[in-house]
Amino acid sequence: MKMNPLVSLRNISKSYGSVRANDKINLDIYPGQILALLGENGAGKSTLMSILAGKSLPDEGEIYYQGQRVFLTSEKDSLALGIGMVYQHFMLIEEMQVWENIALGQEEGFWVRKNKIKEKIKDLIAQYDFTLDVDARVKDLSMGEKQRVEILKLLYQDSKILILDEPTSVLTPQETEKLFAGLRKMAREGRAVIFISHKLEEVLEISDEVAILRKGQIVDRVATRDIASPKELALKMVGREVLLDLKPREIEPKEEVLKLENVWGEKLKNINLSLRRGEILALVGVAGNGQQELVEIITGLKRKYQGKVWLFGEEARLFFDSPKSRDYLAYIPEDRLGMATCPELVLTENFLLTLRHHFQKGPLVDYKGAERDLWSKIEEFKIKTPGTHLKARQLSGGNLQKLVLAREFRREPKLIIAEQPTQGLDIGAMQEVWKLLLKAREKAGILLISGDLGEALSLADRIAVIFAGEIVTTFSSRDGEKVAQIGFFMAGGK
Amino acid sequence: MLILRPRNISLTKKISIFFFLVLSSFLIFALILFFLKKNPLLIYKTIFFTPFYDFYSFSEVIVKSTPLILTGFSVLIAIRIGLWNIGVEGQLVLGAIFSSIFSLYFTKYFPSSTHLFFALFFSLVGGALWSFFPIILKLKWKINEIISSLLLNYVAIILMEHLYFGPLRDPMGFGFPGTAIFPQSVWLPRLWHTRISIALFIVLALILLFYFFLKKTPTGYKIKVIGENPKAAQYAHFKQKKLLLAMFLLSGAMAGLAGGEEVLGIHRRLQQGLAIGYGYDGIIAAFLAQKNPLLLPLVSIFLSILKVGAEEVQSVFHLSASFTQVLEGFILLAFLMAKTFSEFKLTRVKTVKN
Repeated sequence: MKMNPLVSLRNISKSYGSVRANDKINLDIYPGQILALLGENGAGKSTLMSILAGKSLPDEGEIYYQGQRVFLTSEKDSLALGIGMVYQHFMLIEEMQVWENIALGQEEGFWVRKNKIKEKIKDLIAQYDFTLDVDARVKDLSMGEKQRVEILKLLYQDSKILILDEPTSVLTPQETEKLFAGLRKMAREGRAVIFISHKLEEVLEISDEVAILRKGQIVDRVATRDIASPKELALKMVGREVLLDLKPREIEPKEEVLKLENVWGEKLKNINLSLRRGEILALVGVAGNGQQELVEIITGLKRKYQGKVWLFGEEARLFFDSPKSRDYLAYIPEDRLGMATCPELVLTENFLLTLRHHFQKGPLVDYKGAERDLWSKIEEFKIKTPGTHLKARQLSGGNLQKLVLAREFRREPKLIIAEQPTQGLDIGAMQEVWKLLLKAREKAGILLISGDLGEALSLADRIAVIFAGEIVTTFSSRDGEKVAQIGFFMAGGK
Repeated sequence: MLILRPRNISLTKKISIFFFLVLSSFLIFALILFFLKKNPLLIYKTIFFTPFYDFYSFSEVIVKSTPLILTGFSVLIAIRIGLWNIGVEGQLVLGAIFSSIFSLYFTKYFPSSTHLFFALFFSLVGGALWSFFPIILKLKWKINEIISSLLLNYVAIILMEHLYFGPLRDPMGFGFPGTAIFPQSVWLPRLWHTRISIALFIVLALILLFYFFLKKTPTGYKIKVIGENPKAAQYAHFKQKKLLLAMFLLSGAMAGLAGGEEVLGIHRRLQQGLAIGYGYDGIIAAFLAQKNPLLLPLVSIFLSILKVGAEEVQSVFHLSASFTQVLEGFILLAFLMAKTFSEFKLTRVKTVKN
């Protein structure tokens, strides 16, 4: 069964600086089909789809809608053609109600006919078996519910092509099941669904067809039912064998560096946690379940909480006032450009951010010394940069992350809080970061906060699962039985 | 539809774009003058030649640029730590009031050799006091400093008018709105038989000091980080509030010094014509200097050339001197456009035809 494609992309290219995010891509999108775009982080999936959604413009290439050439210069253009996208970061107005968010921008006429709109939304909710209260405020919703609001926004205006960017990254396994059922229904109705993901298993489960992107090019396109070996698919996606099995030998954990006793916060409920030098503890869970608050409390960014936090046997409040805090604790935040560095300052200045006390000459800052030190780190960590006078925003994500790691490891910390340390990195950089973390483990205790189960399982000695502000369970990563149940724990099961 | 695409071009090209745009703003303005039936060439000639006619004319440019450097400096200090001080005008006025009150009533309690020092010192205190309110409101209750500092300008100006129309009015002044002349011991010494006072060199020294402070010291480093990314500063556990407070007070103090310099160096009394917009021009100067304190004197001199030239135009051509404000606006726009166009190029794309 081959019908005419609804949308065809022809020779689409797009570059960001020297990076070619999309390189002459051809892609046809058929109605009634779930197409998966599979690729590593940075393969160009999101770029391609943001072009289709009208959010960015291609440098070259053409887009055809039902055979006619169209120019998608804004999201409005795309929406007018029935092409809509659900981004990883939701674009909802937190203070407004669900129905208001859905109807926003589609008012018919001067008056807002509240009841009519709500009826229509409720019908849609029933049709796709979503559970959602149309009167709730968006800020009170869970990530999964917010995602449903985004999808309903597109269905409300009867979008024919729905693009979902990594939709499962914020969902529990149960929520994922529900989403998939909804997506299948949409496809049956003749809509085209494009599903962006880097997770092999779910792609195999949901899609009718898979297009694999690597380094900005489509390297293969296959019908899902014809896929004989998922391993082959992975090879195509990554371009080489992945050494996922880097599980290191266990080392004898040393003294306790972090201990939380009955900690309660805004979201957190009675957290108890202990971490020793020489081990990696991975905190896994769906994003938004209290991980951020926990990190803020441990790193001293949030001082309002109940319970006790001990760092190196000292109470946290005392620890952060003592000179020890300058070097003992290192934090690698998820937000590299927004928090770990200043985008507009040069690399040397960014290198100094947490290292000032190592580079002082009398009352002045020893910029020369810092620069020399940075050069040696650039070599050691293989940071690709033409010099130290580059601004931080000019570095690529992977190189910036290595700069942050170089800086934080330079302090020789005894406790490292690493938050999504490989998010957005290509597989090469990812493996380098993993190796660096494993090496750092010899001298430090590491708390790894990760949304990527694969990462957590291949690095961690112990795993703690967090749900709704509670640590549901903690177990050894060698406990196969428990590991198999992670999904169940992540959904709050005990 | 027209859209902007990022591009990379050389510095020379960027500079030529800027000059091209400035030139075109002069051309547009010439057109306006032409419709007013004035000869634009003659007017431009007057603006740009008068200040260089003789040494005294040029010295007037320097006289006008001194307070402008200070108000620009004041705005720039706040910007460097990520705050907007729009209250420079009011802080200037308060600085002038404080040093006037000292000069008129309190000199007798101090030895005369210290009068000038204290008069200047109180102008700093006055300016800092007026900047204290907006910053404390911001730090305590997160009230936007742009609004509160701006509104305090009007309070300051009315207070000053009340003082020189009322309690501080010179009893021998034949109804002239102003205070009595200050004692000579607080006059800022003038140089070379012009109105240039030693304040100019104090100002330049302060700017140089600030430049090295930012560039070399740990506190300067922290200020840069806070100004560029407060979240990173929080991440690195900097004590932000203290620095925000200190820098905003310093910003206010510099504005106050501008007021002190005006009353002690130029008018030698508190009188009408003090609040003539140096505070607002300082915002333009700081912006044109691109946060770089070393560029401030150059930018201020350029803006002062326009001002001095405009006064001449006013007396010769009977054209209100405020027309320079229009021209200033044009130049600022040209600068903003040049900044955009040196990073982006305008391209045309077709749109959907439904």
